[in-house]
Amino acid sequence: MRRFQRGDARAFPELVRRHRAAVFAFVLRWTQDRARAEDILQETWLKVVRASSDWSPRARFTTWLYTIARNACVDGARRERARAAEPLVTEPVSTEAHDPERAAAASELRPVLEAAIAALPDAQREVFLLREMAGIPFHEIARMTGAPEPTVKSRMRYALEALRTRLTAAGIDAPAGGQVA
Amino acid sequence: MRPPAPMHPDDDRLLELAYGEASTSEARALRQHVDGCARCRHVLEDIAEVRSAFRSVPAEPAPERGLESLLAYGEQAAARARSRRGGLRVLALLSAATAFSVVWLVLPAPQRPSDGLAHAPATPPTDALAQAEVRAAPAQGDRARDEVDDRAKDSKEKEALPEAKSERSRKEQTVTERRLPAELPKQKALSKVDAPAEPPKLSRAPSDGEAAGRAAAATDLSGALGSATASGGKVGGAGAGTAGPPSVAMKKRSAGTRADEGSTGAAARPASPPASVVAQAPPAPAGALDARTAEAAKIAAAPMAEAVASEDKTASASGVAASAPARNAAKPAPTMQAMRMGAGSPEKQARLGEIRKELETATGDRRKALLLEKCEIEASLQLGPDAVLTCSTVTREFPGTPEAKRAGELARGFSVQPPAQDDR
Repeated sequence: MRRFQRGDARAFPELVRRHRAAVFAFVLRWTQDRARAEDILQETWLKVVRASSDWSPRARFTTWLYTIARNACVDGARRERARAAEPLVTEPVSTEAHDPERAAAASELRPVLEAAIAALPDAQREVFLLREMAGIPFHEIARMTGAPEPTVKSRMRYALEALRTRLTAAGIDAPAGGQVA
Repeated sequence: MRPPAPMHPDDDRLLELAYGEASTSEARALRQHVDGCARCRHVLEDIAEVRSAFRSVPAEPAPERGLESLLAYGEQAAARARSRRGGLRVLALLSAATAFSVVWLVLPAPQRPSDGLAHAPATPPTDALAQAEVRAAPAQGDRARDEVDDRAKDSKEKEALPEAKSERSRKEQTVTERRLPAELPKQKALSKVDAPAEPPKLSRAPSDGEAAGRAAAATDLSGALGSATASGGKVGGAGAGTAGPPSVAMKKRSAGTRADEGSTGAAARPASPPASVVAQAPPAPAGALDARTAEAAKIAAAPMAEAVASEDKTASASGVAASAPARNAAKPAPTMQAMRMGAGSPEKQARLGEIRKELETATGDRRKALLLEKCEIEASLQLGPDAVLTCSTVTREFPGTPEAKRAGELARGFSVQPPAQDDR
């Protein structure tokens, strides 16, 4: 990012290459709608370019980036609610895993997991996605969302509990390899 | 008697442990407890299972759509940043050279080296900033060394500048006081009033009486230029206010403005200083810079700061982002460009408003036509990001149509042009 601020033309494609897919996955899980996620993804990166001079190395780039993405998601959701559009139809999700076993497991697990995430209250989903997908620590999520850190943690615990309940109810066992970080 | 109930750690602590956010000592203590506590182990296993399930589902690949235009936009922004950096360096060099020339002319003849101005270019500049700028440019391609060099240069400049200014000012003060002790207050007062409006005449040698007045004016001028140079982004404000000699600097500025307004392409434009930078008051003058310098610089910077602040207001009024980072992100470049437009833009802006309103409900062909019109207007107003966004919406929603083709062409129109000045 620092290189981009200094005018290095090769720096921006590198940033995009590193983070775009992850941001898209984050936005898609948030919005549960591919078309909206694509719009928000584009909007997020345009804002990154426009606000690049505001970024300071004191802040982690990923935190800054996901703050922009998160705000775009919140604004997008607000606009959607105001517009009161027709019910959103989630496109079927493609399975891109190359490992057939993994692909099969993922194809079984994905709809349940997506539905479970979609069913979370907004505040819990936000915290879960920011921590789990963006890897942002709880204290930074608290700063981003304006909620106290203990609240953020309890939202996370509720989200984890709800997801766990849903997965168990769907008869899905956690894949092997689950361990404490 | 029953054994005491085991003290379980708070669930938040277990969550921190699961996500690796507990401190080392805390993590060690928690693990010791978890090893012997079935309840806490179960909590951790539940968390781990959900995480594992979540990670076993591969993420969706990001779409390719919009990527090309995004990269082009990023490249354009990088070119602008390069151009701005190059412009600032040149301006800093010119400012330092101008300040040096003024001081040189103001110095009484006996104190100059024998050959005077004829040999001046061969003399190493006394101004630290000028010395730093005169040094050979680093080789292209070695970015790391370039960065280290620049940082060292910046800090050196910052450290050296007040000293150099202080030294220069002390010298001028001594000369002035020695020559005209009685007239000094009067001359200072005059120079305060006249300095911005009446540039020192550089073409002829100063008489004794004029010298004192110029010495004071030069202190103002070099101080203002010095502080403008040191503060980088604030050059526009302070430089504009000194309004003085410095035909070179003024020409440079007006040339920049012309390029900005002209049709030389976005990449060639020197970017405006960020609002947050310009809107700040000029820095408090260090060392020998007196209150007059600060006042002059403040007055000079005020119109620019106001203009940029008003752009910010306009931008935030039209923005959709609610929270601080998003508001920062939605800041003003497009509005700035729109403000530079000539006649006709108010109508276009009004039409844009109508289209936005209509788009909220329009569908099918009507929506297609409106989107294309919006895309065309935004492109004509040089609202790069908005145009790219709208055009990509047309291509996405109505692929294969003539409108999509036209929108694609417009989006590609925001391609990168080589910057006017490269970073050296």
